[in-house]
Formats: sequence, structure tokens, C-alpha cells
Amino acid sequence: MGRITDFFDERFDLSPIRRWVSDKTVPQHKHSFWYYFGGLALFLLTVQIITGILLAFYYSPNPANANESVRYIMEHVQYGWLIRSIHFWGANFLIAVVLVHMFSTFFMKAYRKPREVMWILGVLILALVLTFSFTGYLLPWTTLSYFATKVGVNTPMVMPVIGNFISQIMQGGEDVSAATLTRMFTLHTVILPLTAAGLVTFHVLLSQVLGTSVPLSIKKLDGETKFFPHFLMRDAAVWSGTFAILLAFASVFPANLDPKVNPILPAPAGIKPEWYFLFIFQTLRTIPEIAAVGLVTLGGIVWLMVPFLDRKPVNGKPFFTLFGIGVIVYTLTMTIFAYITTAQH
Amino acid sequence: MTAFLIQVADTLSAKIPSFTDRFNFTLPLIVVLLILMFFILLKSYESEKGR
Amino acid sequence: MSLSRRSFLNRILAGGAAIFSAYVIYPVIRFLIPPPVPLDAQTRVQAATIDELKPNSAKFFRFLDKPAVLVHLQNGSYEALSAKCTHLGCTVAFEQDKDIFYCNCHGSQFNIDGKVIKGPAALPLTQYAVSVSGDDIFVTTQNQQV
Repeated sequence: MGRITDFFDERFDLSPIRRWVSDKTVPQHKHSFWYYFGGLALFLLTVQIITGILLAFYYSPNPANANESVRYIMEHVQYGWLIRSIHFWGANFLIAVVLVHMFSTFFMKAYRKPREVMWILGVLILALVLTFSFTGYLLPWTTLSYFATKVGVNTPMVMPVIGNFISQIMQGGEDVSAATLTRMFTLHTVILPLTAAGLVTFHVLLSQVLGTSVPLSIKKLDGETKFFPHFLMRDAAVWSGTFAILLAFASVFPANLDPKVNPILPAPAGIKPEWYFLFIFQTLRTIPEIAAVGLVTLGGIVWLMVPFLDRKPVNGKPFFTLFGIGVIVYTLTMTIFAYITTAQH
Repeated sequence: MTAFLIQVADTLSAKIPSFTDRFNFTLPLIVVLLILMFFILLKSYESEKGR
Repeated sequence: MSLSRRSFLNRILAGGAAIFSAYVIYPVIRFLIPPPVPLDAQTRVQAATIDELKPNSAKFFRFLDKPAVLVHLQNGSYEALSAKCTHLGCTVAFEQDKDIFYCNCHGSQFNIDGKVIKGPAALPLTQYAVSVSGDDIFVTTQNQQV
């Protein structure tokens, strides 16, 4: 091992890396527990990429073969059921972990100077992860896939002037069809992964350069843990435990595969999107469409700009904390209402 | 291609493995992971104290 | 932490990591190996009808997951062969005036029974058995009982 490091030492100045390895610490205090969620999100993203690549070996992105190729993976490919089930549950876990990571950094006000750019990157990564889910959802080409995509792709139509154009670009035409499927597949396997690689690398790089933020309420640290090897080992322990839970879910609840869609038939009763989109879905059903789209868009922009709106974050001034609680209460309420009102059908 | 896939699906009787078969494979892996998690935490805290 | 305790811990961790890695790599490798094609579903195929295959013509079809060719010879009999060139796998073409199979990729030639006339191919094309039942022409492997 020494010979390998000597090889690089003779050619490159490795001292910045050496300094980072030896000096990087993580603050210890009563809220340190939340620091694990960022690394966990990165781990889950890696699991998704690996299982996704494996699935791409057998998946066929056209309406004639899509559903059949997924059935082939589930029923004939060795461990296909496991790889696909991990990918399915991994997606749900990833979204949940990213949400926890986002809200915990929000309430710890980790977005304040100098970490504003990290926050913006983080919100973009959330949008990316949700887009990953939306594009991936169509790929099995089932009834739910088809109609969920139809709703999603028709939502921009309420926007004046550009709405119809945006819908057509998303759909690859006037309707959800083979063109839509190839478009979603390309987004899901090429465009989004490349974008994610860029955003996530930049986000993680900044967290290394800027160090870990400490909440305003903490006046004195309990200590500092060295990142290498101690905190990283604890990260690895969290990842192991999470992977164990993910495997348990994949084994007990293998990913479902409904039959192929027949697009001529009507949309089934009680159709609704996945849990992470329900609050938007319910907002659209509760208030007039254009107001709903406006509200969600405005909400997104405000959320993105929080570091620049919360100009003087001071301990004891809870306006933005209350705002954050308000956002959580709103999304939870809308999600619950969506479940209740669709179950009634 | 589609006809071939359907033919294969109909001929072979294999569906996804039963609950028992699934767990027979993943349960030992889950146990290994939990043990690994415990020992990693142990090592992390012990080596930090030992400094 | 004593030295022996530390090395014990390290050994457990190394062992655990090795077991975990092997346990993950095994299904990934099995996953990537394509599942076997079920042969019994395909060892008897209706390749053509009598009407569609005129004398001195050939029809290409799929048999045993590979390209195959059914020829209606000038003398009225039928011949079925693998159409996959034994050189590097291109599908051969049928030259009806000369009753030979010609591979466009590298120039191999085979006679009507599949034997090599001209290389670079070295091995003959596999022959299959043909039987007629009513209007249908069936192709089976040579050791199959129809």
C-alpha cells in the first residue's frame, strides 16, 4: 500500500487530500443524529444506480415489450425479483430519506451563510429524485403507469400560452404513446443520472469544503468526531442497517407487476399518484387548477430561496421554523385527504 | 420478440419464488448486515476511545 | 483497547465485509447470465405452408432461437438447415440458380446439404428434419421423432 501512495506522491501533491483525511471532523451535539441522513441518501442513490443498471440489461422500452420484459425479469431472470424489488423499495426509501434530510437541515437552519448554494443544490436534487420516480413509473407500462403519467403530463396544460407546448414535449406527441415511453426511458437512464452526477458531486464537494453546520441553539459542542475513520464507520453502520431493512421489504413485499395497459379502456376508479405526489394531486383537486399550479410553483420558488429570505437567522426568532412546520402540516394534511377522498370511490 | 417472451412465460412454470424461498436467500444476508452493523459501531466507538 | 481485541475486531469486520461482498456479487452475476432458452417449446416448428413455398425458393424462419432456412428444391423435395454461417454467425443467403447458400459477410459457400464448398467457414450447416402434415411443413431436429 505504501508503494502505491509513494507512486502518487512522487508525481502529484497529495497534501490537500491528506489534510482533509486527517483534519475533517464532525461536530457532536444533541442534534448530531440528523447528520447521517445526507450520507444515507447518497448510499441509497448508489443502490438505485446499481440495481437500475442491472434492470436495464433486460428491460425493453417500447409498448409491445415493456410489460413483458419486466415480467421476464420478475419470473425468469435469476434474482430478477430481488433486483427489481430492491429498486422499487429503494426509490421509496430514497425519497423519504431525502425529505428527512431536507427538513432536518431546514430546521437546523444549515442553509444560512455560507451554505446557501448547498441548499439550492439540495432542493434541485429533491426535484431530480422526484423526476426520477415520475419517469421510472411509466416504464412497466401498466394501467397505473399509463394513467399516472397522463395526469402528470397533462398538468402543465393549465398554464396559458406555453402549457400545451410543454405537455407535447413531455409526451412526445398529442397523447401518451410509444414516443412517451422512449422519452421517459432516456430521461430516466441518461439525462437524469448525468444531471444527478453533477448536482450531487457539487453538493457533496461543498459539504466537504465548508464543513458541517451547527444549529444556532447549540452554544457548546460535546466534542468533535474525526470523519476518517470514526464517523465514516458509523455512516457505514447506518447504511448496513438500512440495507438490511430494504432487503426485508424486498423479500416480504416484492415489487408488484400489474398487467399491460389497454389505453382504449377508461381510467380505473380511485386512481391516484404515488404517496410523494399526493399533496400536489390533492391541491389540484381542492382549488381551481390554475391557482393550484401557481401555488405549487410559487411554493417551490419560495422554498428554493429560503436562504436569501431568512436574512438574519437568529436563535429565538422562529418565523421560518414556523413556516417550515406549516409546510409539513400542509403536505401531510393534503396527503391524508387524498387517501381519504380516493378511498371513498 | 413479444411472441417469444410470452411463449417462454407460458412454457416455464416458474413464477417469482415463494415467500419461504425468498427469505431463505435474503434472511442470512440481513443477519450478516445486522452483525456487521453492530461490529462496525463497536469498532468505531472503541477505536475512538482508545485514542 | 488491547491489541488482541483490536485484531479480533478487525478480523470479524474483514470477514463480515467479505461475506457481504460475496453474498451480493453472487446474485448479481447469476442475474447477468441470461436464463436458458426452453428448448422443448421450440423443437417442432411449423415453418411454412405448402402453398406459400414455391419450388426453387427458400423461406427463412426462426428455429431453436437461431435463423434457419427451409428450401423447396427444384426436384420437389424440402430441405431445412441452420442459416447461421458456421464462420462468424451471419445469416446466409440462398442462391436459387446455383442451389447454394452464400454468406455475404466473408464469402463462405455451402451446398444444398449444408456442406462447405468454399471457406472461410470450416464446419457444415446443421441439417434439420422436414415433414409434411396436411398443408403444413414442419421442421424438427434430426433426432426428434415426429
